[in-house]
Amino acid sequence: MRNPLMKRLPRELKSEFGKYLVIFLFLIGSIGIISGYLVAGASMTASNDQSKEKYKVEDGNFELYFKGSDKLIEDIENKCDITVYNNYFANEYSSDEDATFRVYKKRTDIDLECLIEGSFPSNENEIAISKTFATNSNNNIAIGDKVDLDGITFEVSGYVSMSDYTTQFENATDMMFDSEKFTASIVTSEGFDRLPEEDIHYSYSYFFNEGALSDEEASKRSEDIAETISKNASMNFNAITSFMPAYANNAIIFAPDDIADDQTLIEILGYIIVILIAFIFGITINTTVTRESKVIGTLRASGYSRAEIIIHYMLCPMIVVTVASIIGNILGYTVFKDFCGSLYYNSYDLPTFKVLWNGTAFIKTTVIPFFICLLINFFTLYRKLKLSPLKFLRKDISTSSKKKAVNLSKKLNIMTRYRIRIILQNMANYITIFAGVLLASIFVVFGLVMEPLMDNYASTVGENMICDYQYILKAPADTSYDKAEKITMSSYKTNFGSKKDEEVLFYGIIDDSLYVDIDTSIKDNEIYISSAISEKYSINIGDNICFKDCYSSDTFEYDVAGIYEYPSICAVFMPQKNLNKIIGEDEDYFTGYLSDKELDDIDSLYISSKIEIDDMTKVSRQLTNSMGGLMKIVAAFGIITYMLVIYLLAKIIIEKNANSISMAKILGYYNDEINKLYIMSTTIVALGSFIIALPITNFAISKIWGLIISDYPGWFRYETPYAYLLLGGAIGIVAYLLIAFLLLKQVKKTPMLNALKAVE
Amino acid sequence: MFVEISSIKKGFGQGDSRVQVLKGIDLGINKGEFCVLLGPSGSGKSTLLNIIGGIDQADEGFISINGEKTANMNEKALTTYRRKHLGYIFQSYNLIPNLTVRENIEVGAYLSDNPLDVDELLKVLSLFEHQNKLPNQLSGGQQQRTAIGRAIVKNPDILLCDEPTGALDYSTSKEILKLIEDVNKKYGNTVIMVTHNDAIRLMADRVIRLRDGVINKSYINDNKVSATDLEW
Repeated sequence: MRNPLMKRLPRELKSEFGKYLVIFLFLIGSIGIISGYLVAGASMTASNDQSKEKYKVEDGNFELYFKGSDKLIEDIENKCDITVYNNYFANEYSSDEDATFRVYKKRTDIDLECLIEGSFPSNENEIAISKTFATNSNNNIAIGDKVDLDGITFEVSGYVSMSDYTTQFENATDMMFDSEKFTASIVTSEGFDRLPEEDIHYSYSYFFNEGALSDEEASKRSEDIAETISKNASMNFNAITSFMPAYANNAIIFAPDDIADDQTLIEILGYIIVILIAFIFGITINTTVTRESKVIGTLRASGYSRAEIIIHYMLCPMIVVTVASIIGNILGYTVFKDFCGSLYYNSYDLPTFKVLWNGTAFIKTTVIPFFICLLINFFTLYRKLKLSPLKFLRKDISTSSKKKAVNLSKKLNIMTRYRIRIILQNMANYITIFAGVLLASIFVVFGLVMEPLMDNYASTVGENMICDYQYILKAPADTSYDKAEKITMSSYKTNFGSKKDEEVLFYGIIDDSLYVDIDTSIKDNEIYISSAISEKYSINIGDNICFKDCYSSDTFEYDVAGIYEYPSICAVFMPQKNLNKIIGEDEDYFTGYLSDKELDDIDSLYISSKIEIDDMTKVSRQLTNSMGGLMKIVAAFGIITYMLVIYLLAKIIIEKNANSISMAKILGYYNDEINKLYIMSTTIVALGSFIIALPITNFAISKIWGLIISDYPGWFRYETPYAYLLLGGAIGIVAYLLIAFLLLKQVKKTPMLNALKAVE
Repeated sequence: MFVEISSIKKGFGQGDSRVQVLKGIDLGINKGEFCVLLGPSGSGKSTLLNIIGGIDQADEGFISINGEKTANMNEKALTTYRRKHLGYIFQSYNLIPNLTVRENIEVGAYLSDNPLDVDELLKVLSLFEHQNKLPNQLSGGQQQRTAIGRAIVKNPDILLCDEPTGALDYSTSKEILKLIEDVNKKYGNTVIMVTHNDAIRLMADRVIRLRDGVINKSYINDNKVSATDLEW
């Protein structure tokens, strides 16, 4: 005979319809988005992995000061065991878009392009550009539009994903890409010939002859390659100006790394949500078992086994979790994967991806949540149901030995003591509420602070610029401006004790500099470090740092003499003569200028690059552009979590105390007074949770922020956004007030007859 | 009459399944009287008690306490009525499980402008040494004494008792009945007690027998016996 208890299931679902529906929808939404992210992410990663072969992505590139002779390139190929291809480009400025177009000839042997929309350029007047750049709200360049590059006009024939520029990094070691002010682009060979010769960068890309290598192997090979190219270039009266192995090239690796990191974060988030829901179910089940203890006692006394009862009480929550997971997964594969994919496609120029069945995502979003809920609920029930049927019949089902009442001072008003007792009685609910509020608070505040942090960063960078313009020269050139200060700049690497190398900009500063206030009488082995280095790697005055030459195995050790306030760039400041000595130049040698105004009397031929405020603030611009929308969703998700957790658990508290509420009404307590007892207790806990959660949230976000930013070059200081923390708290309180309104209605609805029904 | 019950009718259900539980009850109870409502299950005695207690509404008729009618009262006025005039004792005690004995009594005291002294009451109820215990640490009799304490601490005009000994053994039942009797004597509260224990009628001033929703018998008991002398 079919188990007659099964007939209760639809009735139980119906009687708790509101609660199950809210959890069901929340789970569908959460699992849908998580599944969408995992499916889209895994599909994009697979597509990106395949594209390495399909689009012949380089193993690295280098740039020479002059065009490399055939002999030089041949020597490099032979000595380094690599195959080198010309990959020349020109950086052209477009005043219409206030942006730099990096123009390549359409490649045929290496770094091929994937057409996203429109067509490849077919004549000398056409150009294909990055879609993220074109569709950026500040650019809005449609296919067919004309772009003017320093007086040379091209028509946009299409949008392309360039395999070596899936992310628009102008410099591969920049902290952040800038798809608002930079695009890689391709033109035909004839189109490339229209560009001024002085703008051409002699860039070469290469493949290892032995085929694809692991990052570790590639890293070992790259050090030798860089040194060999550098030596051979010098021997051929040329010089290497940059070297970038693919494994460290942000323009290639940033997007897949970001997707992989997001997948981990999303998975963790998913598990936190499922555990939270499982605990809510656990508390619900516990309350139901207490309420139905006599029924359970009778069933057990009648011969129903413990397993049958456990299964019976677990079925509803497990059905809700399973069905929600399956629907969430279906939505993840259909609706949400496009949404989640679009979040990446708004930031990155990835090749198109095909959705792949992802068994791991299914396991992570359906099987694991099922088992998390199963285990938490099973152990909740198992602990309870170990008690004898008699104990259930007597409603004596406390699993711990009979608890003594916590001693409360009689001096406290009875209402205060009553409230404290409610809080003590419902500690499990309130701890779960606190956990939910903390989690939600992190979402809400993280969603809120992103933009102000960016704005703050931009203004901090602006306030702490060394000067308005920094010029890096290809060769020494003079200027008539008397406040332009000659500097020497060079780059060295260090890992600061971590696994990943960071490139550090060395500034050689003249005595009595107008722009950089350091003591130039420091010892030869002493340096000033930027505050960015100090904060990022916790390095202080007196510490010792070892730097490596980027193109050789030479190393240099320095003691930190001071910290210079320069918050975003990992930089070292030292007397110019000291830096010149390291690079083997005379004391009066210089490689650039610091200036408080634009130097227009230097021929552009001599200028390698010009750094101004826009270049320094691209991080904040890009993060705002690419993550602004997502952050709003994160904040909204946080608010929903606030409301869901507080509502469900506070509702359970009211349900659990329905008899006491009913009795208080019979005794003559007004609804207002009952609210002051039962709602006020939750209000105290909710408000207390918000208050305690704020500093923890701030701490957590600063740590998360540090973890995120530490992966990027440079530094992005987290400054506590007090106003937004308070706003996060205020949003939580408003959300709570809405919930409190529903709870008030529930207290009012609790019938006095409850107490009468208790007669059994 | 302190309590006036006039033409009370009450039914449950709709259409064919409607059951008329009270078919017109008229009754008067004097101040300080100990009144026992007897009757078999389904006779309507608990329903009548609930209507007197303002927990349930009559379909027809009215209840008047000291001239104050409950029929037209809104929810808040009914709450004030219960707060001012009534104390309730149930068979299942209905104590607040997370409050101590003392706190359960104080919950009742909070409702009164002039409550009895809690310490003294705890001693009267023999609960003083148990005052910091939770209800689940008490015996049934102790729990019922706590419930009585909660009901009488506000010194209500009327004490409504719904089968107060229904869940207790013989000797504890007698103890509880003695306590209610003492309270009635000491504080002069009117006591209306619903019971199906026929022996309890012997300690009452007024006995009302209900059968099928009507008063079957109503009389003044001139030969009251003390609760300690009851036997069943």
